[in-house]
Amino acid sequence: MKGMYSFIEGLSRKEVMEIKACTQCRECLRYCPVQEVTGNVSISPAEKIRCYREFINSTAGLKGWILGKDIDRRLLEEFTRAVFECTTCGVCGEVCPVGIDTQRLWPMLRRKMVKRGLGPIGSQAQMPGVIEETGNPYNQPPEERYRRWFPEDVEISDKAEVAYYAGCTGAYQAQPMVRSDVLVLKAISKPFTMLDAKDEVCCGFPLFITGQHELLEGLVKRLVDAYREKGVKELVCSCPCCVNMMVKDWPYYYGKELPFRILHITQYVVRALKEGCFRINREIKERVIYHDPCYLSRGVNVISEPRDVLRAIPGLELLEFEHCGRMSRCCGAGGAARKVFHDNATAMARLTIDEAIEKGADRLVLSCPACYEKVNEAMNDYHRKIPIVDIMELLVEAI
Amino acid sequence: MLIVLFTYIVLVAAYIKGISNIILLFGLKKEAPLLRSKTDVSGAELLLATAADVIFLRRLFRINKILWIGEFLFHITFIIVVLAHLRYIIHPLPRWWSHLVCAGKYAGLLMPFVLLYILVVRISIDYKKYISKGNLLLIVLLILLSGSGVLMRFVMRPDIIAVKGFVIGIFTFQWTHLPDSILFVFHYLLALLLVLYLPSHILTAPFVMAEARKRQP
Repeated sequence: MKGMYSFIEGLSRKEVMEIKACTQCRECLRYCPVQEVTGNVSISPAEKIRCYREFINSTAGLKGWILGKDIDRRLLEEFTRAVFECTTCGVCGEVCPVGIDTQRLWPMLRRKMVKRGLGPIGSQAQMPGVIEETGNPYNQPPEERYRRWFPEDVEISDKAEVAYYAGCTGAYQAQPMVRSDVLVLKAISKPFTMLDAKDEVCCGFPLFITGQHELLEGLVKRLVDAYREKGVKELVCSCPCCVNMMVKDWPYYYGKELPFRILHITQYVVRALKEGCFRINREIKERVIYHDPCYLSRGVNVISEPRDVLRAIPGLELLEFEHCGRMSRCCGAGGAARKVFHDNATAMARLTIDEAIEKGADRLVLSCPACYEKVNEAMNDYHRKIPIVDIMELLVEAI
Repeated sequence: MLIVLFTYIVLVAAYIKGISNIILLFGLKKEAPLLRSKTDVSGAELLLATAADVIFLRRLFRINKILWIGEFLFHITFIIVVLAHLRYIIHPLPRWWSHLVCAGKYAGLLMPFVLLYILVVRISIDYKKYISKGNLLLIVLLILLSGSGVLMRFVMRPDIIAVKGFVIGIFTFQWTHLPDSILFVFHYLLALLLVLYLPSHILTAPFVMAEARKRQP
C-alpha cells in the first residue's frame, strides 16, 4: 500500500493540522447522532481521526520514514465504511474543544478513500454517471424537474436580479416545499427568474459529499454562467445543502468570487418582511417545533432567520428542541448516507419525531428537502406520528 | 551511563519527531484562498479571542464545565511546574525565580489530585466506555509523574545539588553520577517517556482554534 497514494496528498495544511489536533477527549461521542443510534465506538469521530492519524504517521511521519509500515487493507476498508456511515452533520466539530471543522473534514477524507478505490459505498457510486446524464442524482428526466409541482399562475421573468434555484431533492423528492417557495416568491411581488428545467442541474453537493469531485467544476461553471447571463444579483435557494455548497465551494470551482450573492429563502423572506413587500394575514393557532438543518445552522449559520419567519406568523407558538441552533441533532438525512445506511437514518429521524411529540408540538417544521423526505419516510410503519410541514408551506398558509 | 544515553536518544527522537511534524505540516499547501472561512473580525481581535480560547479552554467550558475545571487546573499547574523545573537547567538563577519555584511547589502538590479528578470524571460519567486507551495511558503517566514529584518534594527529598549537577551535566556533556535516589530515577524516566509521548495537539490546536473562531461566531 505504501507509496501507492500518500495519505496527506490532496489534503490542505489546515486539514492535516486538524487531524493532528484531536486530543481524543471523545466529547464528540456524547453528541454524535450515529453514536446515539448505533453505539459503535469504532465509527466515532475520535476513532476515525485516530485511525487516519495512524495512516499518516505510518506512511508520512517519522515512523513511516523509519519503519516504512504498510497499511492493512482491512483497516482501510473499516475506516472507509466508518467515514461513509457518518451523516457529516458536523455536531462533533461544533462541540470539539479544539474546534475541528469536521463538517468539512469528513468529505475530504471520503475523497481520499474514493481516490484509493475504496469508496463511495453502494448506490453513491452511480451518482456521477447519473448526474452527467440527467443533471440530477435521482435519475429523473430533466424535463420533469418543474412540471409536477410548479404553480400554474406564477410568472417567471426571463431576466431578473433575483433567481430561484429549486434543487434536485426539492424538485423530485419534496415537491410541497419547492411549490411553496415559488408561491412565497410570488407573494413578495418582486420579479424573479429561474433556469430552464434542463439547465438547472445539480449544484454538486451530492458529488462533493461523497468524495467524487471530478464533475464539480463543470457543473458549477455551467450554473454560475447561466445565472450571470440572466443578470442575477441574488440567488435564492431553500435547500441547505445547496446553499452550503454555493456559499462555500462554488467560488473555488468557479475560480473566482461569484458574480451574485447566495441567500437561503428564509433570509430573503425576512428581508422582504422588513421592507413590507408582503403581509401575513392569517393567524395560525398552533404549537410548532422547528428543526435546524445541519447544513443551514452549522453550515452557513442561518439560525435566527427561520425563527423570525415563524415568529412573524400571528398565533404561532414556537417550541425548541433540546439541541437546537448550531447544536441541533441530525435527522439522519445528511451526508448521502440515508440511502446506504437506511436503518441508522430512520432511527435518527425517529428520535426527532419522538422529541417533537414529547415537546407537545402540533406540527414539526422543517426547512430542508432531505430532512422533509427522511422524516416523512421514517413515520412509515412507526407507531408515533406528527404532521410535518416545510417552513414556506406554513408561511403560504398564513399569507 | 545507560540513563544518559537513553536521555540523548529520547531528546533526539523528540526533536526529530517535532521537526518532522513541522516539515510535514508546512510542506503542505495552504487552504485555497477561495475556500478559506470569511470573517469580519480583525486580525488583532481574532488573535486575542484565540488566545483566550487557548488559555481558558473556552470551548471545553461551553460543553463540559465539570471536566473543564479539571483540565484548566491541570494545564495551569503543568505549565507552572514545567517552568519551575527549569531551575535544574538554568544556572545561575535570577533572584525572582524563587517565586516561581514556590508557585511550582504548590502547583505540583495540586497536580496529582487534579489528574485524579479528571480520571474520575472521565470514567464515571455516562460515556465512561468511551475513554480512549491513549488518553488513559497519558493520564496514568502524568499521575505517576506528578505523584513521584510530590513525594520527592515533601517526603523523600533527593540531594538537590546532585540532581542539578546531573541535569546540567546532560546539557553540557559533562556527565556526573546519577543522584542516589530510586524515586528520582523513576520520576526522571517517566519524564523522558512523557517527552516521547507528548501529544501533537500541543503544536497544532492553537491554529485549529483560530480557524474555528473565524467559522463559529
